[in-house]
Amino acid sequence: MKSLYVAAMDRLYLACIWAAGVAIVCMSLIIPWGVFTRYVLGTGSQWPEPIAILLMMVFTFIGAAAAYRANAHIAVTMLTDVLPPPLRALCAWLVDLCMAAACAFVAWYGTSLSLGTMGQSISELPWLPVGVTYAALPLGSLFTLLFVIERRWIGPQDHRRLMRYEEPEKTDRGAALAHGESR
Amino acid sequence: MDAFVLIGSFMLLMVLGVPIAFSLGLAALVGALYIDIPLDAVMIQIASGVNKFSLLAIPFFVLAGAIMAEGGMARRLVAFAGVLIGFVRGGLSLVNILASTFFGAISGSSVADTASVGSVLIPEMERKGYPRDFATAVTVSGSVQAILIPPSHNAVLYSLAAGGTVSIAALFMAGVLPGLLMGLTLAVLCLYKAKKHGYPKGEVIPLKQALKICGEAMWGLMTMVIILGGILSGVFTANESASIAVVWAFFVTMFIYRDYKWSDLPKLMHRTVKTVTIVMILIGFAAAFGYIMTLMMIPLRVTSFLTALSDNKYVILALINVLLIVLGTLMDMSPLILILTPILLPVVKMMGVDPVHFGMIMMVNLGIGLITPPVGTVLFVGSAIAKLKIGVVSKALMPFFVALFVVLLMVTYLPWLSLWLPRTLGL
Amino acid sequence: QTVLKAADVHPAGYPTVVAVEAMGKKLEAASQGRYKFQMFPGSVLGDEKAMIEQTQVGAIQLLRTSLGPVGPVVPEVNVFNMPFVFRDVAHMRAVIDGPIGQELLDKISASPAKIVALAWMDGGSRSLYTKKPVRTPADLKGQKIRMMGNPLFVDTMNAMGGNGIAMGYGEVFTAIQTGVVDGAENNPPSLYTANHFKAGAKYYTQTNHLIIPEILVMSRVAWDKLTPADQTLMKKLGREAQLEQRKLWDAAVADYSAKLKAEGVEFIAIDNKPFFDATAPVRAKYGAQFADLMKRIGDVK
Ligand code: NA
Ligand code: NA
Repeated sequence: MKSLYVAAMDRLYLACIWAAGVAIVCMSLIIPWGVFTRYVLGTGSQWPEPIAILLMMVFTFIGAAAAYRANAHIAVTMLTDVLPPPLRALCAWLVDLCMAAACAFVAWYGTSLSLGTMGQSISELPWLPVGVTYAALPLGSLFTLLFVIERRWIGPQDHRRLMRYEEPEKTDRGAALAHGESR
Repeated sequence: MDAFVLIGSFMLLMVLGVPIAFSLGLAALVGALYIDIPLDAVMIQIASGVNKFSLLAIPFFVLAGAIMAEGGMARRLVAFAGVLIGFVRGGLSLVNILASTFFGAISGSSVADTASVGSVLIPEMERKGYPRDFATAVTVSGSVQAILIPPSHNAVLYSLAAGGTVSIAALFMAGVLPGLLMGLTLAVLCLYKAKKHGYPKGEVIPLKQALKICGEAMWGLMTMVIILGGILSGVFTANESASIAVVWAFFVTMFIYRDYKWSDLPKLMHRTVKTVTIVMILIGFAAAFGYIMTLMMIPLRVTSFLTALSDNKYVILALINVLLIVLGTLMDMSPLILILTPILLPVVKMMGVDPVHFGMIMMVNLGIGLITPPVGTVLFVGSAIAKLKIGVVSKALMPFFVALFVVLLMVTYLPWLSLWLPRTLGL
Repeated sequence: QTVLKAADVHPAGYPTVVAVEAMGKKLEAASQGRYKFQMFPGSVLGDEKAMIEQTQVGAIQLLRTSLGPVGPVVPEVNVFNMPFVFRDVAHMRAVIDGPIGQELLDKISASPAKIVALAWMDGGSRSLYTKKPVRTPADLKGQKIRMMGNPLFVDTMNAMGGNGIAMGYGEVFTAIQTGVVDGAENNPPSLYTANHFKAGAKYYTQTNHLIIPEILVMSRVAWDKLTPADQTLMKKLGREAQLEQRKLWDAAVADYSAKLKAEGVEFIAIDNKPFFDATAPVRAKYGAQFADLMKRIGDVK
């Protein structure tokens, strides 16, 4: 049962990474395309902007779910680090509980927001319902929730090769940290 | 009481170890329940916090920097800095700082700067006879320049947190002089140390080799020319120039340098997803948190509290700097920008401080926070690369903190340092 | 006491904000302090799209908004986006004060948008500003003019003789300065506060091609909590705010026009008939669905 769940989560993780990766690649191509149409073809297009924003929503919320499984989110651990092990385990429990609560809330109310705005469309692209642009929020939260369940039930997965396959084979803490980018 | 519920639950969740982004989101939900705001409205804020055109520049700038850094750009910038300054006494420490100046021109990330410049130069400096803790201290303090020298996704973040009322182009140009001043101040400190401890001189690089090194580095440094030239001439918007920088970085890495394997590209994508999405989701949750803060009138209350303390803008700026330093030792830069800008900007605006100038104060101050213990991401990365204890590096950093603090004072109390260049360019 | 949150994208002191604040004061007095407005001006609660969604879920109770977000649910309001649908501002006011105005407010309130439309607000009249003087459609030939991001507006500019370019408002200053565009269009207060004349657009040609009113809406959630008497009171005060905002707006236009002239902006008065004629195909293309309504608007004296 456990191994089945982990295998399913592995699939989900890869799907999230690929969805987010494809989204950012497309975003990086769509915007230059807008520049090209403006200068070379002499026509400003309407669609690159809303489509790029839609892709950014997918990138952010779906990608962040994967980032959670890879334990990439920034957290303050200096206080829990000095606690005795039993208390630390309690904190870990509470953290998982809070994460689950946050994800469940966002998944639930995000779904209601997304469904509630399916009837409205964005002004630049009349065929695109607002609800679709919001769908990544509840979806990403749902995926994160599944990963939170896995973490509590089976244990953290972030040390596994799948979650850090971009790092050198024999990795040390330095190289691992060095890839925590973006600040 | 309502402010206590919101901020108290955020602090509690954060101290417990809940990731900061989710602490903000959950605190916003608690605050919304407390003041009876429908939770749907919180969702709207989370989604619309990310559903913003002006936000696109952030993943693009980070991605362009990551492609450059992994594609061997850092190595070439180090070599280029070596040609320019490596031959003096203590040359390698100056090379380290200058390489960070250049690196700052292609990336806004101090962590990436420390990781890539540090992994080349810390071992090299040690081989040539510099103490390892000194080499590490130079690397991490020099990397703070990346935040100031354009492009800087933290400047984009600030512009966003200010409600889009501050021009990104003006912020970029404002960072140039403070960034160079920081590099210069650190360089003076290194020269002094080199003289005192007799650190070695480097060699002069033969002309032919030097030209080749310069030529290779130019391809990468063109990134900043594209970004700034594009924005300043109005040919591109900030988003467009950031996306074109990505395409350019990709082109240079894959077709000019050709030392990055095509088969490694999925790895780059994997890393980018893991590192950029956490900033993006933080922006979304911080937007919800900021929304509840606004509904609770917290910015207004802080403004009247601070203005009651003093009506002198220098005193207020000093108070704010102390606050930022304290919070900066404990927290990361991006959440602090997102949380504090909407609170502090109204105060300083009322005092007549230019928002662009205030942005630079925040950049320098929170940038220092990245290398201060107990929580300093850049400090952690630098120590890990050098395989030194954080305490050891922190001790070696002491004189560098003093130097950076001097820079902070100058940026705070000499507004023209930040404002002269953007004003001259009519931004 | 019930506190009603009122939001606006415009900053404190702007005519719409002042009018809604005055409405709140009147409401507080008329309800013996049972109701009070708390104003959130200057987009502090999010952009227009986020704010209207918050109004729909009941987090914001009153919102002054443009018709943009209403168009997808009540297509009829898009009639106001047609170029030259009004002869002038006085005509527009006669329409929104009359039965057509009431009819559209009721349509919005009855729509699934979960908002109750209380009153109209004057959004001003948009005219061209350019680096080179423009008097006729021929003068606009080859000029790139920034328009709001809607195909209808871009087509309007193309029909008027120029090249319509959709672009974010925040980028317009640099775009004019560097020649990415040759001009843009807006009302005098916006031209002054956005400083676009300082980027070189010193000729303000009074085409009045777009006169688009705005609305004050209340959240349906909040509306349903009011007693019928309070609902009537709210509508009455909304109507008063509609008339008061208009006076504030006219004063602002006069004030900012004088300021612009002092800064060396040349106001060019023209006969806009050639531009009206040139945009007939745009009205035919986008206005076919509300041809009747357009005719009725035209008949209003
Ligand atoms: Na930079
Ligand atoms: Na710190």
